[in-house]
Amino acid sequence: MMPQRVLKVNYFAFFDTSFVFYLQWKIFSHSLQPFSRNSDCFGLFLQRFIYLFATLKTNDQNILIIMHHSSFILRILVCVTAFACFSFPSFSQDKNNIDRCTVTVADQQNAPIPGASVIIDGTTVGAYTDSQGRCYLENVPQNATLSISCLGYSDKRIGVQGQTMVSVKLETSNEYLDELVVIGYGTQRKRDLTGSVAKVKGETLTQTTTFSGASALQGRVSGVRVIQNDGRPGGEINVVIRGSNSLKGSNAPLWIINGFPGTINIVNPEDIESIEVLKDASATAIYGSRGANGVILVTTKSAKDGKIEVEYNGSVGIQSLIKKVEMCDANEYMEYLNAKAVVNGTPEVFSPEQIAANRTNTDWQDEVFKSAPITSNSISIRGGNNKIQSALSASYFDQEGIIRPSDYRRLNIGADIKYNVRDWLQVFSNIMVSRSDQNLMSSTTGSRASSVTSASLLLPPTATPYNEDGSYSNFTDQPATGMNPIAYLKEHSGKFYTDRTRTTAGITLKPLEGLTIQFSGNIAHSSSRTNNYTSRNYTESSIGSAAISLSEIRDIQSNNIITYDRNLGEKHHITLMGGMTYETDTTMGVSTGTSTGFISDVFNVFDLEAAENKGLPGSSYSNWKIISFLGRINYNYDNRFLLTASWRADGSSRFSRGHKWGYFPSMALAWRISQEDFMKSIGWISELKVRVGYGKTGSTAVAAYSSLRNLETRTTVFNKEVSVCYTTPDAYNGNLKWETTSQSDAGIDAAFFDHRLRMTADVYYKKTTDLLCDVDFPRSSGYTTGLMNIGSVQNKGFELQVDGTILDGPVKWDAGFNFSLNRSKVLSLANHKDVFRNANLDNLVLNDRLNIMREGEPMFSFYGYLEDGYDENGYIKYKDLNEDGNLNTDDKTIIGNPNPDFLLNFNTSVSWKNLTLSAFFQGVFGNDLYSMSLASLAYDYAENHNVLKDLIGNWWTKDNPDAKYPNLWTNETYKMSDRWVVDGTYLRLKNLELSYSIPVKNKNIKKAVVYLSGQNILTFTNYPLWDPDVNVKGGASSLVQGVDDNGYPSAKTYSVGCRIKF
Amino acid sequence: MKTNNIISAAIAFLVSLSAVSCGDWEILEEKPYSLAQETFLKGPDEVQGMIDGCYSQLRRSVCFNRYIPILAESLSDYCYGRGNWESSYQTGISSSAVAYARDTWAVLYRAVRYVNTVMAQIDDVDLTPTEYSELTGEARFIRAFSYSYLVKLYGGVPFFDENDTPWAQKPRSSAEDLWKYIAAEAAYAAENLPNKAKQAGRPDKTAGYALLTEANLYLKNYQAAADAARTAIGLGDHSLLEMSVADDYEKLYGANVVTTPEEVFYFKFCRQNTNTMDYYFLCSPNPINKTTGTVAIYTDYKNNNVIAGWDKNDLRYQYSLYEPKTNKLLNAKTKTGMICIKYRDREATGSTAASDVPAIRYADILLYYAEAQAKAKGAPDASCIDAVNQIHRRAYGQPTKAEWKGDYKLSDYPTVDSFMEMLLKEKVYEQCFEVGKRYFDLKRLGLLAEYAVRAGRVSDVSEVKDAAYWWPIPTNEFLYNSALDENKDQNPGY
Repeated sequence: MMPQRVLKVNYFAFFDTSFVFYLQWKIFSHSLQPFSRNSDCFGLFLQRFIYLFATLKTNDQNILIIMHHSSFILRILVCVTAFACFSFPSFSQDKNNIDRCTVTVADQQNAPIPGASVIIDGTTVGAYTDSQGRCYLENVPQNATLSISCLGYSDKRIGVQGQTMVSVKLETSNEYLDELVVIGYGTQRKRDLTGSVAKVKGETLTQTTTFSGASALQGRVSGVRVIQNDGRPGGEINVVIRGSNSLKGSNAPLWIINGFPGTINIVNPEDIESIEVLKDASATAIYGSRGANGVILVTTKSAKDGKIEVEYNGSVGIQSLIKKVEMCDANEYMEYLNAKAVVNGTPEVFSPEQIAANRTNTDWQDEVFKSAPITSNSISIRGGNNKIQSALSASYFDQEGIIRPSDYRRLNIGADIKYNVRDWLQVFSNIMVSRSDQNLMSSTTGSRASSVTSASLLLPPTATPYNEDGSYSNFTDQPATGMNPIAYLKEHSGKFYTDRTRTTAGITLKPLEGLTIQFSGNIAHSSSRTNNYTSRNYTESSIGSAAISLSEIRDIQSNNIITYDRNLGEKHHITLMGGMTYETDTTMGVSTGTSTGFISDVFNVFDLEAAENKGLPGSSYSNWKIISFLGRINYNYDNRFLLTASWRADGSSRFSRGHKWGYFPSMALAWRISQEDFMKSIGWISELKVRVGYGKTGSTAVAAYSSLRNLETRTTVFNKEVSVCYTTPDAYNGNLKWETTSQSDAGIDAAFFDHRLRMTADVYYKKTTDLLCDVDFPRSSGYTTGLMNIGSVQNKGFELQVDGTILDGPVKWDAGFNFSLNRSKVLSLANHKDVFRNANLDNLVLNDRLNIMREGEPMFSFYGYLEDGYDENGYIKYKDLNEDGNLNTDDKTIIGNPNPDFLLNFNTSVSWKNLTLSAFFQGVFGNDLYSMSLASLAYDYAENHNVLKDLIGNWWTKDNPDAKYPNLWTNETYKMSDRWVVDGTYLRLKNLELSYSIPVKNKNIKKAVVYLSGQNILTFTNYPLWDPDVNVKGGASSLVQGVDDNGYPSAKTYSVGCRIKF
Repeated sequence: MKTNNIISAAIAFLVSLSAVSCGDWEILEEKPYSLAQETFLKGPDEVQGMIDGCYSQLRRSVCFNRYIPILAESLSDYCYGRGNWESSYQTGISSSAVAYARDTWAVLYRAVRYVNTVMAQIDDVDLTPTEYSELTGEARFIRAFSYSYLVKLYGGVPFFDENDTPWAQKPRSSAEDLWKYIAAEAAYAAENLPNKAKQAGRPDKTAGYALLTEANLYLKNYQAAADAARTAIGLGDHSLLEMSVADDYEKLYGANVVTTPEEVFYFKFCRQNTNTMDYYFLCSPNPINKTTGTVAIYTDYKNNNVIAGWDKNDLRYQYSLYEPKTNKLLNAKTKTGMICIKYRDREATGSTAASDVPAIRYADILLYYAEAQAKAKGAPDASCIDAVNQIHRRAYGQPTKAEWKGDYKLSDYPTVDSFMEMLLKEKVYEQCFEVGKRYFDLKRLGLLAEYAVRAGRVSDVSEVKDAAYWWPIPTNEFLYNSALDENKDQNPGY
């Protein structure tokens, strides 16, 4: 068989000199550059060109791309060598084929479109239209379908139907509308969306160096609040979309990794192609019982057709404490204690001689916090041909914490492969493996130097970490004791290892035009292990203490989806999707218990038999299953009216018999007003679409076995020996069923001035009913709670995202902002009674319930006493709100709201020549924080720990009766009051980056960018302590939100890095 | 070929659907590896396993291994709480302790609920008559014992037994009714429990009579109390340990003691399952294990008349108390402070110790007997004096049964009042730092204020306010129990 021909590509028609020049520049630098002409169109063209480049190279031995130069500079030839191993598919003469087919491409106004690509479907044969909008194809099958595409126009497919002349009309389009967006069980063009879906590209996420795609999402999407519990490496990140719905269950969104539910922690942020956030119910209802909190779809960079591309990204940075809290120095501390002793009539703590003689002034924050490196390296390789495509990636992320030895290290390896076995059959597989090693350093929160973070503030500055003989101080000679943080950090290790794998495989069948059947399965496995060891040196009485716990999660899922996509006549387009999915998840745990009494530290946790006192082992098992049936219709009328309707039925093992099934419908409509004739004359409006949608989603909310009354195994002691016993659960269980959230959404997508200004706005209303709720029983019943479906909450809000290009000349300036506003309200609760978390918040200074769910109030409101100045002795007085003369719980009221008034984030980037300066600000406005930290740092007079410098000279005295702080009574007992409600507003320069795109001459290097960046380098806030971005008691299913309690603080980072593409 | 593809795909799809759709969704039934309450109780071992659940609650730190021993005792005459444990005769327990008291309430009621659950089902269990009587005896003893502490700490409380539904909302019963109930249940337990418990840590017949004695004392049925105590002593299943030097008391209180004849009903702890009470008694440095301790409760050898007046030759003084000089936590309160080192555990680490909590000792029964008999007869008799003397003798290293020159003489205590005065003094020395025994005695006898003055804690009885007598009913009980009104039903002073 002979090689048939060389595909000639003629670009004469619309490449002038400058273009070729820019072209090279663009390909090699891929940076934003000033263009002499319409830049959007130009950028798009380039993208297409690169795409074409890749496509052509895979299918032919040598392709000559001839570029024409019309002026006196001679034609520039760009010769590209493709892989020799790919042979051109044979294409012999066939008498059923048309010898020569002429294709004419024009726009709606019948003006010819030059440069459009015309390809025969299922082959790689194609051509580009000339200046007359014409091209010629040879040897075309009678029944062939042609795909026509051109930059700035929508793609079109048309059957040849034996004709030798084919003319095609293309509709104008643009990048923003044609961009593909991943939705549940499919993809859609952005312009066809009917729901509220936001897309974030991978390159945006990797601007900040972070271990998690979830934390990289902070501030990037309107309506999405990302809150870290604290700043430890690998710490918990919570994502809340459009407010919290659930009291009992998780408020975390469902993460879908490449089509299957999973954890974002397995994914290296550098591998993310895009993240799509499904916000409204019409988008999430297809995920049924798990869609109530929104769905985040993560798509990783997959195998692709084209020349092999290698990409390397690396960065190294240094982190340090954002700011120090100003505590008293030794002299201030000693004088404060003596002043306090005078107030209380107790013996003085330090004599004047001792004060004079003291030479010790330890800054415990300096002892505990150190600057720490963070590095990230990732490399990926992708390429393939029309038969087989593959991708491999590997990355290593290494972050040391600013409190050593806390750290987080992760190694990721990923592989993606696709076989196009036949033109109707594709087989694919995606494998992800990640290993993370973490030193947890979980000693945080609390008061009285009971944890490392608390000790770093509260230990006496007159104390030192070490005694003179080099042993650790235990502070018994000090006025206040506590843990020795240095001893803890050096002598205690808490290692947490996790191995995760995720293997997806599937086949896609396309037996008929428009019909796609996909069967895919996913096996996810995660095993983690915690090794805790406290050495014999920790304190004088330490004898060595070791414990191991193991946990394994085994998960299997399958998706079976049929999609049928078809045009019905000229104006009707319909897509039907139906399927069935199944998931089962098993968690098994083993723990060894804590063994103590080792003769040497050499064993660490690896010889528990050597312990004198053996720990008690434990083990656990839990399994849940979910079966679902789903279906969706997308109907598009004339690209003007769009309709989506979906339905899902979920059966979950977690609910009581008879309540296992839930049904979740949705419907949405969109009208692209800009497609109407009457709008076409308004030139400055490029796109205008209105959307409305409604749907129901659910939340399983409860853990497996919640509907059963299983006995719990406990232990007691007889004869000085441990004995096993059984108890019935403290929670009384009624019949449990689904929690259901219904949501309405209305939105507008618009673009103006040729898409230079783009905006999306949405309003929504969400209501959750059958709220699963722990109803408090009187404790005299012996139960604490009963789990019941009772109550409802609502969330309503507004979101706005605006992006635009402000300058588009030699200096290019892009800017955008997003704004989110959400208001939550508890509508009804069981017996109209308030709901609290079971356990009190207790830091020994304050001990009470804080967050309240009360009918008519925002969720998680702070509840407590109002202060009323000081009494004649400088004790705090509280308001007797019901004026009954007693101060009791009836006098408590709402004292704060941890929910922000609004979130506002903005980003901007300015580029000039090869330099780009970009900044990203993230802001949370109007939320209250409850600072238990402040109570422990400035009010704990019952103990003699160090205090905030601010206290000095600011406590109550007869001469200063309106002082900021009360008198220094050791017997003052504080109530949870408004004193510790502080403004949590902050605006943070999350990232500032200056990058330089090196103009590479070497043709082996396509792109090379180096950058300097700073993260968290500037924070505007009134919060006086470490960090306002804190939520130490938070968590996706925590009822305690907005509390700071000496959590692990965030770090600021300066880093340098490079992004290179070969 | 394409038609075949479609057919095979469709078949595969239908098969996958039908594979899960058959069998009435049995796949969604949960099969945990655990026991369900409804099907568990089959034989004696299961019943025992569920009764034992009560101990797992009562022995928690929120109950008998920290909160009760420390908080209750901190309102007695001879000792002081510190920090969150600092109680006052004016305002009662501290606000932090109010939160602790809430948990104690919940845990005591939880033990009651476990017994109620067992009692509701036990008639359907296949048991021999002996098994039935021993198991119900033990269960009902624990329930009555839990109620006895609820009444002692909170006064009249809501009453639940196996006839109540879990979601019932009940008002406070009177203390008297509850003591009558406790007496009846204790009598049943005394009748049905074995003479010797299977294991140390469970009640036996003696324990049943001890609880019956106490209930009758509260009900002022002195004759019945004396009879019950006499019966308990007469069983002969328990006796006092003999001591000759102070450290001999370690045979009684030491952390490594498995059991003793003196032990009647203790909450047991061991190295793998420890108590935290000791840590809160101690401070660092101490002579036991140097570093352990946070001194939540302490006493004072100079400023407290009870301790100041204690004979330094008393072995119990030597054994139980220690004067730490360098601990600044304590020194910031008083330079003449002492801590309790009674439950010494030299191997304790951190906040954990293996010492038991002596809820009922044989010595307690003897001392209760002395009181009950004296009051029943209107005057002490020889048996009363002998009961006290047995304990007094051993405190000076003498044999408990042999007469000694230092014995109390009946002639010196002709009246109940003079006898009670002596008895209370002996009791505080014998029972200091033991599960609130002193505080409950002073309250029961109406002497809390008077003894506070005597000890030098307050200058006048009027300074001892209502809050000193009771722990507050937890606020969450008012929140969730519609049968109670905080303004009417809260204990006075809170």
